[in-house]
Amino acid sequence: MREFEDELRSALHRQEPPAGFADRVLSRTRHNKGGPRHRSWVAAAIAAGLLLSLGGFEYRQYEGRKAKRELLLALEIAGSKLSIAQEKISHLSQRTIHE
Amino acid sequence: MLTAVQTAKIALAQSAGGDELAFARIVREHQAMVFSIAYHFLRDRSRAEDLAQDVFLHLHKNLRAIQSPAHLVYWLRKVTGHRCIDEARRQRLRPSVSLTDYLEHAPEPAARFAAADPLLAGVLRRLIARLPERSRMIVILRFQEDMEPAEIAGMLDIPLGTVKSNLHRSLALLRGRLERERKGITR
Repeated sequence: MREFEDELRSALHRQEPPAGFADRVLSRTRHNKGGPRHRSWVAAAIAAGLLLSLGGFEYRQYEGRKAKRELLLALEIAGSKLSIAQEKISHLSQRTIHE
Repeated sequence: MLTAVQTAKIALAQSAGGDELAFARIVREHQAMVFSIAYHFLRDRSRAEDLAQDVFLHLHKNLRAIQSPAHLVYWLRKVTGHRCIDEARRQRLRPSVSLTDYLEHAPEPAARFAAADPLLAGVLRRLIARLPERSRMIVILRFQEDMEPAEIAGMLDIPLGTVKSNLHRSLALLRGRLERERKGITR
């Protein structure tokens, strides 16, 4: 029995892995270290892109509201000028009828 | 003058602090143990290397959890053992045969088998590879790593009695199969 167990020990002796094993492990640990950092850069870039497009959208909305306000003001001014002119015309036409 | 244990403790502390050279020293010190458990279990050098690399990557992420050099050895054996069994079970679901696997499992020509002890070792390894996963791991830990049955039980999370009976059965099975192979060859 002892002899058979020794044969098993001899059959199952430790073996070294293929050359460069430790270097391959280290290269994978370095790659893994870069992984999360790389992912965080991608996330930051996506967030920045989203912010920019949201900002652009907001800016266009603001410009539209500003243009609308200016148009309304212009119409208001034009309307008041028009009513003054209308008043003047009606005043002149009344004077002509009386004369 | 530092002892081997003190040197190992320092390397462990330095690795946990991010020292790459210290981690490389740990890998080089334990690579034969991890690779051999995987290789004797899987009988495929390429798969054994992949598995051993994964074990060390896992160690790299968990260095702070390792308390001492003895704990490191225990941790590496435990993670390797469990990963080997998981890998073999996955492989059973998608069987494939590599060239090395085929050559290892191919019948030994009579003349080669009878020639010398290294060939007997090859036959024994082939017979061990045919054992069920858990029995195979127990045999490897007992005879490659010289672990006591109680240590194996703790590592594989199984009762001591199960390890002992498993070892007894596996040895009887291996002896029987070896005898049959010898008879088949000498006949």
